[in-house]
Amino acid sequence: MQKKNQLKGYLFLSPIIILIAIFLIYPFVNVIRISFFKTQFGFGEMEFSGIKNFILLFKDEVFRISIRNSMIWTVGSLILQLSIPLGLALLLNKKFRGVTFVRAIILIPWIAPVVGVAMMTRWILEPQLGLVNKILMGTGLIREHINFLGSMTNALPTLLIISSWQFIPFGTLLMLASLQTISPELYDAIKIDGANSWQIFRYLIFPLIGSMIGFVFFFGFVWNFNTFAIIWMTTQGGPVNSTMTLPVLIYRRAFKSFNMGEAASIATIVGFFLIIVGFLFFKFLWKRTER
Amino acid sequence: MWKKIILILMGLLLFSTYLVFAGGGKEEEKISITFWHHEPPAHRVKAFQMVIDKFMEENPNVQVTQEAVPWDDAWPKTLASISTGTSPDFQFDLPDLNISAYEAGGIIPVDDLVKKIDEEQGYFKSVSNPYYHHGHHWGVPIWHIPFALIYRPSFFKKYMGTTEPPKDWDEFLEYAEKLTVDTDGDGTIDIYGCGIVAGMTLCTAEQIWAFMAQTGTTLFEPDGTVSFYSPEAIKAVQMYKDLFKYAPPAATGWAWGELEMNFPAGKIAMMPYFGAILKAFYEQKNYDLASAPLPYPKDGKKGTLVYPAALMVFKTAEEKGQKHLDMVKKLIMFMMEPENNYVLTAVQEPGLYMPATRANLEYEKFWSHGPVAEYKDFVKPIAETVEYGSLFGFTHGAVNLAIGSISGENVLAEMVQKAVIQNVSAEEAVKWAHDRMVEIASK
Repeated sequence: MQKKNQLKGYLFLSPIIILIAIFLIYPFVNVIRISFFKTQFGFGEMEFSGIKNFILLFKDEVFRISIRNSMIWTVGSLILQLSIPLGLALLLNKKFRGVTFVRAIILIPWIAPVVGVAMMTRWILEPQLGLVNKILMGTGLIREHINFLGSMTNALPTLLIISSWQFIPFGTLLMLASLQTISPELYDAIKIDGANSWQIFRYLIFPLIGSMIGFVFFFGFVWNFNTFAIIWMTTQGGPVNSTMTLPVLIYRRAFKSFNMGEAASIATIVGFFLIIVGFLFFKFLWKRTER
Repeated sequence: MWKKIILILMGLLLFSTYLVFAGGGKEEEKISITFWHHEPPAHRVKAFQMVIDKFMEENPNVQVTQEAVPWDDAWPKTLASISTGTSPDFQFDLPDLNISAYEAGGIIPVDDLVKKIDEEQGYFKSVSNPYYHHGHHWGVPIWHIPFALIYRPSFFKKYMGTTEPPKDWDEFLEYAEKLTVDTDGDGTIDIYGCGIVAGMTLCTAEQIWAFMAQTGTTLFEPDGTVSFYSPEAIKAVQMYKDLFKYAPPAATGWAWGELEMNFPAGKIAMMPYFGAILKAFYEQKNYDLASAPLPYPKDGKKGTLVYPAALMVFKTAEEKGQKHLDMVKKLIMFMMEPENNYVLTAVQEPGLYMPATRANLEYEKFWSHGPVAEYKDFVKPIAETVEYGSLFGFTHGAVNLAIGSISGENVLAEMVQKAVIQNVSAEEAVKWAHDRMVEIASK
């Protein structure tokens, strides 16, 4: 009977397993395979090159820059995307007039298409005619135009903020949903015990929504590490590779210099890195927060 | 009663069966042609449809479908379609895309078409040469996009005391300096002398090439060897660096869009650019717009960037049979007829798309079309650049097929970024670009 039930279980699981195999496992295995080939101009003629693509990668300065930028991008984004949504969720969890409206409009950045956001970013931040510089100059806050996307020092932080602005509503929504599961009686109880606001957060809220923060952390990590569109559509990795992240480099190598083998080798490294992060997260952090 | 209903139903069934087979038969006879272009804006799609509709009217047995694939997707989609055997019949392309399609084994030679058009209409060599490699023509040039010096005559008059454009590089620098003006005396520059960019886009590569073409820079020797590291290239990069002092500081991140926004807004006095700017001026009925050949060094030569667009025919068209291929070629010839070509050039993008043949350039309707007629003095110098223009990597024709990757990697733009943003010397920047080209070519 138990065996029969097990079989039934596998049967019910099979559609999703088949889909995962076709759309995730097969492409990933294929990418790994291509990374061992020298390819140019599509996949027509591939020449086996062993681990040459990987050796060349580690000699490549742009690859090293991309790793560094990807790390800065991911860590920087996570700081913004965990702290701001948490603060916003705590605010939106309070009862005030128009809370439903605020909860609705806060979603706008999340639903805005990236293409639109990229175009808007380019125009609004344009130093000569853009709105942001006009306001800053008009109010006397700055004396010289700020070159947001054309400066090596400004481009990455600017894009990081824009990208986080898009992610924040999603994080807020998840944390708010988690906050709303906390029973009001628990607040009353901890207040009777004399807890102040910080203690309420530290000993009641944080332990109860910890697993959600952990999930947003992991989701944000993967989402940020893979961010491509906003960077490509605004700076294409420039100026002088200052916004070159690994996904942008993969695209550039695959579809600009048509070196699929090299692009696949970067994608393989990124893929395994994210798998390891996922494994470590679910093995250690997730269990701890669940407890 | 039931008998009647059954009889009516059977009658209807027979009639619909007849319609299906009769109609199906006719459908089978119809030749279906699909082509890709990379001009998704609605007005451009409309111009293509005008020509398609006319062709289908003359050839009722043909169904032509256009598909607009944005430029950003052109390479991956083209290569993927070749790999999977799902290419359209033909496609609009640029020389480096043509090479990619050739290398992927997706296209067929079009010598017969090029020869015929050349005999009938006279191709400009700068337009047809980049598509000639491996002993064949692989693209049918249809129009070209050239660079010229675009400027605001009123600014010249006000700050230079003349409306004459600069002729050589010394004058170019002098003009740029004097045209960089703080008009209201508040300490911030309001007009910049020269609109050149250093963003990590093809726009930067296009602009730097306009200078390099004048010094005689080549990317490759006629035998295909990389020969970029040269005094000519260094001289051009140095000029670009010098001129950049009079460009908006933000131009380090600019591309086409920002230039097209700032020039009509009066923030830039002059720039090496396409005639695409005409549209904005035409819509505002602003006649403060002029063009001239780009200034060139005293010891250099007239030169500029010319981007030739062509049509490449895929093997898939050939595989569908001779009759199908003949109709594809007929459509291409139709597009090249002056009566239709002016729709694809002057009507589609006045001032930007210029005819690829003498006959089309001399065609009366090209010059009498609204914006072109109204801004004839602006369009004429741009159209004439085809006589001396060139495209980076194709000075000697398609001699090194790595140009697709070099162009895709934006090596020229990155070189400019090193020189302008990182302030690396012109020589070091050129040396870096040379080494990078060698590296890419060796892969």
